[in-house]
Amino acid sequence: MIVRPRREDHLVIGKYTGKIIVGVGLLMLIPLATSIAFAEWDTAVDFVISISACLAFGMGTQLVCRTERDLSWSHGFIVASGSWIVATILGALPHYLSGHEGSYLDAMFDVMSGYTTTGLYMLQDLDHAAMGLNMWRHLLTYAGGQGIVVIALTFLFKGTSGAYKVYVGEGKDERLLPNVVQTARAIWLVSLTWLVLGTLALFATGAWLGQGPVRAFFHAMWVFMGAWSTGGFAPQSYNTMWFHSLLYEVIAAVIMIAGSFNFALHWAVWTGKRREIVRNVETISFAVTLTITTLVATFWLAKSGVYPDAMALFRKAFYQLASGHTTTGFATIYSRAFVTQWGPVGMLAVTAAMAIGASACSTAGGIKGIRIGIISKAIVQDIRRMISPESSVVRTKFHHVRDIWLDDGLVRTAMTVTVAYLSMYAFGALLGTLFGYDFVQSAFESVSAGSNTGLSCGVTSPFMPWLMKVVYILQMWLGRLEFMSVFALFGYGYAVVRGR
Amino acid sequence: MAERIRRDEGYPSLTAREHWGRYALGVLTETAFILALTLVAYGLAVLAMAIW
Repeated sequence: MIVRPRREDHLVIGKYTGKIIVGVGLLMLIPLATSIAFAEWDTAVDFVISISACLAFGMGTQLVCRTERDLSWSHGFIVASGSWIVATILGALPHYLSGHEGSYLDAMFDVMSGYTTTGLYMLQDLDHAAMGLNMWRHLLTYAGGQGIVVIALTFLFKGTSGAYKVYVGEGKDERLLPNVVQTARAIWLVSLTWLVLGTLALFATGAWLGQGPVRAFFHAMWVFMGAWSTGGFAPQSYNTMWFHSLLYEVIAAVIMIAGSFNFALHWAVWTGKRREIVRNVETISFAVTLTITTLVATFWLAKSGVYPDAMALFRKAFYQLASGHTTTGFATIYSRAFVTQWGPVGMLAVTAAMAIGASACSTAGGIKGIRIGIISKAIVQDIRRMISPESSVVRTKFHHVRDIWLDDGLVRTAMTVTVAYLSMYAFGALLGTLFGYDFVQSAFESVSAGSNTGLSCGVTSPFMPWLMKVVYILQMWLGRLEFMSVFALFGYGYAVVRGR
Repeated sequence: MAERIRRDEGYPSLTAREHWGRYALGVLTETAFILALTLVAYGLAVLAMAIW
């Protein structure tokens, strides 16, 4: 902990934040190229301005903050959380300059939603947005899913020993390989392989459905990015309902569930430990909670007679539940259908799925399956202790890549983060209720923002109170970084003020 | 630096062709697991419609 920040602390934080913002600026070259390719000159100018701003800030900060000192743990956490805020402010420039946003706050909302792979958005007239802007929206969510820091680690940090500390600060604390840069590359390998396979499958389906090759390709790539990153952005306002295709939905569901798996699980399965997928505590937890929430919603919707046959019921129920549970946010129903057709029980099932979320060290948000697994195991262990003879020693282990003994420290950490998530969900729900929204709808939307899901029942809109927009931005940020990095940033800010 | 040392010692890189088979099996395993979950959901829908 930085008790009283010194000049060297500011310099090292500034230097690494600058590096990450340069990375954001370089990322904008891809939508700039897209704009030029499609002769969208106004959008191209927007990106030139935005790239210039990012490079000026990033390079200027590195110039001012010259230091040879490496990152400490505290610095890593602060850089991870602080760079997301700066990246949001500067990344919002193309959105704002496009004229599709009502205000700069709305543009920041959309960009934070993209980085955090949430998927809620304020952008107006999405169906007429430029190709370059759509490329930026989906790239944001793909880059955010990978972790902005993973990108910087791969291309900018090289072998810096302190890089791992920023990587952990971004909520990814698994080493797939002994070297952290190698770990970042392994994450890229998994993601890019799925990118090629997923885009090809969606492209072939889109072309088969009658899309032209260029449109089919870009839609396939963007839907892949929205699914894999569990972001939920789509290039049209009807989201994935626009395709009206069972095959497209199944492929999207496979990609979003795969995207919600822990990268350590991917790597284990890819390197020969194929049984890991049925032994890992996270996949078991995910399979159980997905089945339970799907069961509740399916039986409720069948009883309500909302859908005419089993296939329609399966397509609507499973897709929304899988989307909610993986914290993707793709939808094949209208937002208001959650309220008018699904009712409180259906909404509760989706809310529970979103709140739990998917795997740690993945692109997904929420409490995470591993914490639910640990807490469930701890409850079973306590029950076994109660019914066992006093002299007996009851110990439990769980499997996550390797067998791990359950200890009090692990349970305490899992409980702490779970309580933090539940408190955040409750705060957002209460705030929405105070602004006059129905409690169930407020809770749905708050959980959706805090768990980085992006499903909406209609609360999120450019016309909602600005305070709710700010709180949802904070919820998305807190939820994605899993609190600790943000708390470290607040602590640093407090120490700076107190130091004066 | 670390990567360079490993390659010099004869370790194949992550993208070496000899890994591709295992990676492909990994993708297939993941897809099969997800499709199994999807089938369970379809079974639930059939059951629910049969009851109501």
